Amino acid sequence: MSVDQRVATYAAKRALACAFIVWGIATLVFLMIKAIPGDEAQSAAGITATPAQVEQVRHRLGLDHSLPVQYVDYLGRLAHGDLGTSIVSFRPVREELTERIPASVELVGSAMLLDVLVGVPLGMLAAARFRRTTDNVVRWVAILASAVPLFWLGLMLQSFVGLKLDLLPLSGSQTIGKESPRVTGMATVDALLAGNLSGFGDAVAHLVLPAVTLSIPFIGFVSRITRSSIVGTLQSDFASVVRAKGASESRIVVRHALPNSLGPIVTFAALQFGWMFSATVLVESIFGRPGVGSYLADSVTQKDTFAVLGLVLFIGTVVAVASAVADMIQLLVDPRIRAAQVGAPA
Amino acid sequence: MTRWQAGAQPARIAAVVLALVAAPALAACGSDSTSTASNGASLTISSSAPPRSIDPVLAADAVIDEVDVALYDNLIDYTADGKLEGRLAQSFQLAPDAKSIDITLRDASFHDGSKVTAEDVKYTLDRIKQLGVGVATQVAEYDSTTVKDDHTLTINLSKPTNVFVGALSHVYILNSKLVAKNAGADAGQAWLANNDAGSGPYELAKYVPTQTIAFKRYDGHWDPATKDAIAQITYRTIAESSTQRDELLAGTTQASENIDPADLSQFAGNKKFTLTQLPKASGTYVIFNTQKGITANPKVREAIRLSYDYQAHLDHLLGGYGNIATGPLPSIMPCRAESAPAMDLAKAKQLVDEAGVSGSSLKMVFQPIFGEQQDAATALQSNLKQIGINLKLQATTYTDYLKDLKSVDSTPDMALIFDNPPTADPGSMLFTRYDSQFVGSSTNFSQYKNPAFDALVEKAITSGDQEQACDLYKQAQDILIKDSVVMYMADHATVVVSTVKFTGLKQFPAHVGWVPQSLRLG
Repeated sequence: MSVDQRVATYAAKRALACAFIVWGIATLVFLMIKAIPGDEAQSAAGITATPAQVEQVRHRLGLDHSLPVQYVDYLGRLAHGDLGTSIVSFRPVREELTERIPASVELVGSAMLLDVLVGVPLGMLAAARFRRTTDNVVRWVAILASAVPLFWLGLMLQSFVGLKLDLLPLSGSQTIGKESPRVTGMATVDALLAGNLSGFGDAVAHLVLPAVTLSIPFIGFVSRITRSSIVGTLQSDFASVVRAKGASESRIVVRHALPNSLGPIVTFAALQFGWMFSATVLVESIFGRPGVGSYLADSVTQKDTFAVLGLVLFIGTVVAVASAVADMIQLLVDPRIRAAQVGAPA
Repeated sequence: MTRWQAGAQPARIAAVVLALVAAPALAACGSDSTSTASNGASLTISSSAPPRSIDPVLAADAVIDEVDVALYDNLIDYTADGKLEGRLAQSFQLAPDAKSIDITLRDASFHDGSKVTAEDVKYTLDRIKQLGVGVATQVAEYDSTTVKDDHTLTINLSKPTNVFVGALSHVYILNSKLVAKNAGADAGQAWLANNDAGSGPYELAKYVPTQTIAFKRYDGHWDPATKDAIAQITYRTIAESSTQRDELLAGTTQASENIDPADLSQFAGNKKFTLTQLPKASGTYVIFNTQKGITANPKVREAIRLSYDYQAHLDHLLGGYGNIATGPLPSIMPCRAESAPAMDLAKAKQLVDEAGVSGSSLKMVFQPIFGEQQDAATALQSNLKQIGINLKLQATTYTDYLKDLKSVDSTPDMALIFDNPPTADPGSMLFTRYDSQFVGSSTNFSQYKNPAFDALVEKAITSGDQEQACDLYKQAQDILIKDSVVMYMADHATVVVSTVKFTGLKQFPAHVGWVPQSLRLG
């Protein structure tokens, strides 16, 4: 078997594991929702519904079937991309998610970008100045950033940057009247596609504060991981050889240590992607942005079973896929991992 | 890595940083100030709870009703002073046996220009019955509609009730042909969730779920009073009270009705803002289990009512916005009996001793997501300790509480809840909350059984005479007060903060939220 075939086999196995994880999440969440006290049919029919109306709704939503039948029905529909019908809006959950996911992807994508662009260089700087003042300052800043509550940070940024300094919009995703026709559902991308520069600027301005709020705690984490990983590499034999050849410390960090330390950074960044989606619950609420976070908060409050299932499945899938992609990236860029996983020469 | 590749990374970083720095400038580029600026023709309101659907069948939800009341016409509605008036119904007459309502429709047209007909009314009511959700509960007695011609119809009821007439205020008439064209297999629920099929004073200009709803005045509306309504109204969803406050301070929204009392202090004394307090058809109540445990004894219930500091609740928990409740029905409702509660710890202690329950324990559930409930529960716990009753607090959710009500045994001794009448008719609350036929059904919260009360309320709701019904409702409430069935604590108020002067800002008893067509600027 060639190396390419072995890589393809590995990728297929990883995809299968991914599907298994998603199925496990779906099953677990389905059982948890059923275990939570409260009657879904009563919630759907309304608090003052008569018993007859509750039963009518129970039958219409298929909630009068036994739990195994409900579960099998659910998996069958899932296989066809049907996530069920919301018991709050009575719309297909898939439609509701499709409306909201792009806005969250835009927010999380921007936050990830900030996370990597700020967190990794900070970690590199700290590693290059190991045990010096800069390292200590970066470490304390990182700890502070990781510990700061998102909710408080968002409100403070909003109040100071948005209200007092009047530099950026306080909330929303676009100024009313500056929207571009919906193509992707991401305000910035849609504005660019429509050639609406003013709309693009407006959408980016609305994105800055939520993205910064969401990214700051994660920047703290990623800078710490980057620092530890690079410091470990800098203490290895090959770094001593490069140093002996006269390379500067910054060159060693950027050209030699960073590429050899990417493994844990990539893995951690992939996991962060999923965590960030969960954290959007708070950020979207503070900044009045549409997205899966605010949808999740609303669905849990209203015991909207299928909406919650759809969302948890989405976030679970994001985490599982991001993790698989991270593994594949490492396999492709790191010969040591390639050798260990598929037996390719290092 | 090549030299070109090595240089590409910083260039990309610089581009992103540049984009972030330039964003506000770009945003300002070509700006004609903001579209939210009031020129007398538009208004932007912040709203904390976005509707997940605008389908009128779900208008029992106050948030959805606030949208539908603008987009759709109902047959009948309550005026601000609590009188029933015909809307699409030019005239209406409840039969003397309260088993049918004759209606004559006025000339009106839907937003697509087609005429509103009796068939549309029949379609709307049949659809509600078929779906069995939302307002179906309020019109549960609906049986069928007999269409006589395009303008006349009779609504037939399955049993006599005059409460049905008031419930029609939440029945918004659909353009049946338009809905049928888009219905699919779900009676149009998915389509109506995002689209407008109404004849109301406003058309749907834009709807982005969870973000924005914009209305444009419908100039073809039948009611001449809506001709000078605000031309464009936009609701922006802003979940956080503090963000709503800051948006108002920044001038990017012009009105809000959802700011927490704690955040309202920012506006006090600021001449740029107007604070208007409107009574609301909802309040805070402690519900007793009247069938089991020591709360089955009216003396114990009265003692608990006498132990609470109602003035402190109003001053500290509601920030002075609202009122001390004075009866089982909110103060905005018609046909009320009143008896203002007052704190009297000595009398309360005496009643506890007479009942022989000193040193007893009770359990009270409340919803911790509401700060007012949490604080009120703690205050009551402290007050009851002073009269010898040990109150144990237990957090719950509303759904779980309703589940507990399925039997007398599982009903908690006490529950601290927010409640509001399903419709503006007093019978809608008195009948479902206290009539013995609803014991164990999740609507008779106190599991109250009293044949004398039942007789009065059942006679009232089947009466074709509104005045007689009103008198009977008052007598029934007197029984509730005498029996201390419920501990009414406070009536809520809507506090509207605005940067513009309104006229027409009133609370309409059938609608918990705004009625946008009633507002005028200036």
